[in-house]
Amino acid sequence: MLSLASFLQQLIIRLMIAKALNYKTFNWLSGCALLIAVTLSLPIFVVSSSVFSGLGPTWVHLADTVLSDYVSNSFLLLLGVAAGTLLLGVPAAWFTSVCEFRGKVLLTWMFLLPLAFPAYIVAYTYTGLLDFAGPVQSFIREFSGLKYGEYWFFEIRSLPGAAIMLTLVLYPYVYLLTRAAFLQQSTNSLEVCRTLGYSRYRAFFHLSLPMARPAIIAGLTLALMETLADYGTVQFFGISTFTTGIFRTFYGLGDSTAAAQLASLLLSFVAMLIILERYSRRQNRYHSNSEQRAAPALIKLSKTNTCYVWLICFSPILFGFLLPAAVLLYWSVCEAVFEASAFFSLAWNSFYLAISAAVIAVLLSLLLAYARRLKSNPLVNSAVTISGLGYALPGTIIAIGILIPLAWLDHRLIDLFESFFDIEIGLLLSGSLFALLFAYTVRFLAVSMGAVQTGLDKIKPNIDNAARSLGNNNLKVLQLVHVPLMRSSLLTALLIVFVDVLKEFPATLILRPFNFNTLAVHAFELASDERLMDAAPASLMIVAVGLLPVILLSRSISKRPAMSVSKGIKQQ
Amino acid sequence: MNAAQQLTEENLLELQSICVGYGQQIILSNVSLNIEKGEIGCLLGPSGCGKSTLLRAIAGFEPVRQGVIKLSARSISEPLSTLAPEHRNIGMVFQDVALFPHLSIEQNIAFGIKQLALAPRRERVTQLLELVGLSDYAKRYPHELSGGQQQRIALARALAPKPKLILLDEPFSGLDAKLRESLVPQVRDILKQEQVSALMVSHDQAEAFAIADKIAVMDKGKIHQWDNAYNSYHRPATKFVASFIGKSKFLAATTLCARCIETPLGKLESKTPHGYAIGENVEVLVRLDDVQHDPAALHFGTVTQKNFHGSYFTYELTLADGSQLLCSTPAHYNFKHDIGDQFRIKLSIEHLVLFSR
Repeated sequence: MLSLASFLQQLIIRLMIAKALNYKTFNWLSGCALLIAVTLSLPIFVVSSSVFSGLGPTWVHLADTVLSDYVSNSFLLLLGVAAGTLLLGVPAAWFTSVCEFRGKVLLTWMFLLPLAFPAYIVAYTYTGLLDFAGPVQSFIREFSGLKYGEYWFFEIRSLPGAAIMLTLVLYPYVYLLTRAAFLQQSTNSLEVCRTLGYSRYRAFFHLSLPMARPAIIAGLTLALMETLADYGTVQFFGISTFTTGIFRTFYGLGDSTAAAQLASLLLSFVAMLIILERYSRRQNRYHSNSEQRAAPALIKLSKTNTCYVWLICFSPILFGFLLPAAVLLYWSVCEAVFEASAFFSLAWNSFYLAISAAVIAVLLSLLLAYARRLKSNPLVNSAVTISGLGYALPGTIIAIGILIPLAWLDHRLIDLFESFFDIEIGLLLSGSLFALLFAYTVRFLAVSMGAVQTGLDKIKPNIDNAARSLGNNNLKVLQLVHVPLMRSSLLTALLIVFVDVLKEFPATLILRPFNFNTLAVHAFELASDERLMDAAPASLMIVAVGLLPVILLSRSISKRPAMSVSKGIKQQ
Repeated sequence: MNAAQQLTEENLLELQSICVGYGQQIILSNVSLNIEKGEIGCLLGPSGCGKSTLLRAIAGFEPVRQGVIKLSARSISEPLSTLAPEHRNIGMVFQDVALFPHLSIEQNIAFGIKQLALAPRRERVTQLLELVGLSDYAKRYPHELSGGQQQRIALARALAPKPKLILLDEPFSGLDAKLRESLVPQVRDILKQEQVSALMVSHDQAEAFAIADKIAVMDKGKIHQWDNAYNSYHRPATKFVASFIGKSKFLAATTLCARCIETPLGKLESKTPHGYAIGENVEVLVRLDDVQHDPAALHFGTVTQKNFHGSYFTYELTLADGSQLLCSTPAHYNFKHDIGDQFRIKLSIEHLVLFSR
């Protein structure tokens, strides 16, 4: 007992000494960083802690009936998207990094265009084109005289259909990271391979491809995370996956605990992908020789081969962007029932929500980035990492993880106000824009953080030191040196978050206040009512705005093909 | 006013047994140093010896755990009280130059003298541009300048507020050898013209000898010797200093009398007493140029390595007892040996540098 007391005493003394020595490693900025981290990790915490609340009757019911469907459908979807994105992304990356042919520059950036499309909008568009009443099948019937059921046609509203839709818009992730890896591969190792008797094509399969493998996997995991997060496409196609299941359990069965438990199961899938992605990125550092050498000799393609490459490469661009964009444009202009005032009020809702979220995210990112720059210690660093975790979370999980604690808090507040002041305040937090902005911040902080951090990292620490030794305090350094140097990265961060929020769908659907609509929600509602053409103007608007970061990205990949660029594209 | 007080008044910078460290790790222990007004000092040592940390502590970017740093007799760093860098009036030049990329050359130089009125500010900028010989570049931007030009602008920027002391953190290490050779004396001239005290960090002996009035040889967070270049070379205070500066080897020896020792190459005598007891086992420092080729000498050395330097050769020799020496001969000297050859050598040392064994 005595020894324990003396041990504790010693411990306290040691802690006090440590505190005195490190008194400056902790300040208000670090405190803010920790507070942000704790707040933003609330949804993950709520969802994963639901595992401990015991399995209720709803869960048993789910397990007996639909859970196996959720698992198998989600799994098959992942498999399909993985195969599709690899098939489209890797060759595209190879052609645009190793070969030389007419129109390569054009192809290089056009491959990014599908990033502007959210998967659910591609899904509406193709459904409109290919379902029974659509122009394609109508044409077949007219042409051949066959009637319904007398001919076979691909059913777009199916699991393979969903996999194709997701592949069409997600392959650019694989393309971008793989291309960056190919470009980073040193000419030397390729030349060594040739001197050892390998032909160009054998060298590709034996050297380039294995060396690029970590990057390919990293790109693939990003695409798969988006697949798991997708709600709009699978819901519209009526496929039971985790995300639709969570939604149905929450609203249909009204069981928030079971929904959270389902979400935590999905979370474990996501966590595996995150670990795989982190691991691949780490591997990638060893697999790429970043030393800049003379540009590798490119494989010159003959005219016929150029034609083949264009045929192969053009199809994902055509089907992933040009065709759906043209169809949307045609519907918007010629077919849609368009009410200007209603449309503009929707657009206004979307825009101010997106701008507010972007400003919040960038301000918090600045705060976190400075906390790390000024007082870098393990505590602050992990706070920054935790704050960025939301980027991998499906919107559905975040929405559930926010709705449960906010609803609880709201009910306590209602009780409090009723018993003390006799006022009915209603749902202050969970039914307001606060919940939405909170969710967007959780989901997209990593995106703005990435842009802000890249901007700040470019300013070498000695620039700060030089400015300070010339008589300026930290605030002055920020004003005179950092802000002018970071202006463009701050604008980029604002833009990317703005666009992401505008495209975001599941969290908005769950958390929006009653009777509050955005472009994405409105388009979904119209599409669900089989008014696909009327949904076109809102969809077109989202795609048009979504093009902005794609243009930005295409400019930066033509300038420098580094991994850092691909890191910033996660959320396009 | 006593002598000690007068001495401290002449000292511009005074470090009194300072310690710096992070957590459990100690980077600098018990470092003391004085720099007089107008003096140029250099911290010389292998990488990781703590020289850059010492510079950062003086600039105010690292707090001290013990001891005190004084500038013009005023304490600027003590444990738990560090004057912010911006209030120290100490200029700094960095290895990576760290010019502000968004500002023109003249705006860079004027950055630290914003408090001056427009006319004197312009005058100072013009004067400094002339001093560093880049008057034509006032409107250019940093990326348009070469490495050597950028470093001169960085120096001008640090000099602009007329600091009491200027710190240079390996300012030449990013430049190629030829450029460095021409820039080092230029920088010395600029500093002397501005009559500013300076402390530079370097790992290059030639650079330190060319620029500094006094050199602090550092290793493992300690200053081994704080002296001028001549003394650091000829009267090294510790074995580390002896081996770090110049090319040399150590020979085992025994003292014979107050001024003489016995070595594997015979008896050596010094003009001054060496200060070790008679019969003590010591090591004697033998520099490259102490070993002479002499066909009449009694002892042999076997060539184990050979290097051609253009104007001279260096040989690594192994003696009969296995100890090693370095020897140089002019390249035009009609005297070529290959590895495995033997030739006769003698030692010619005027001042014995001994360390106990």
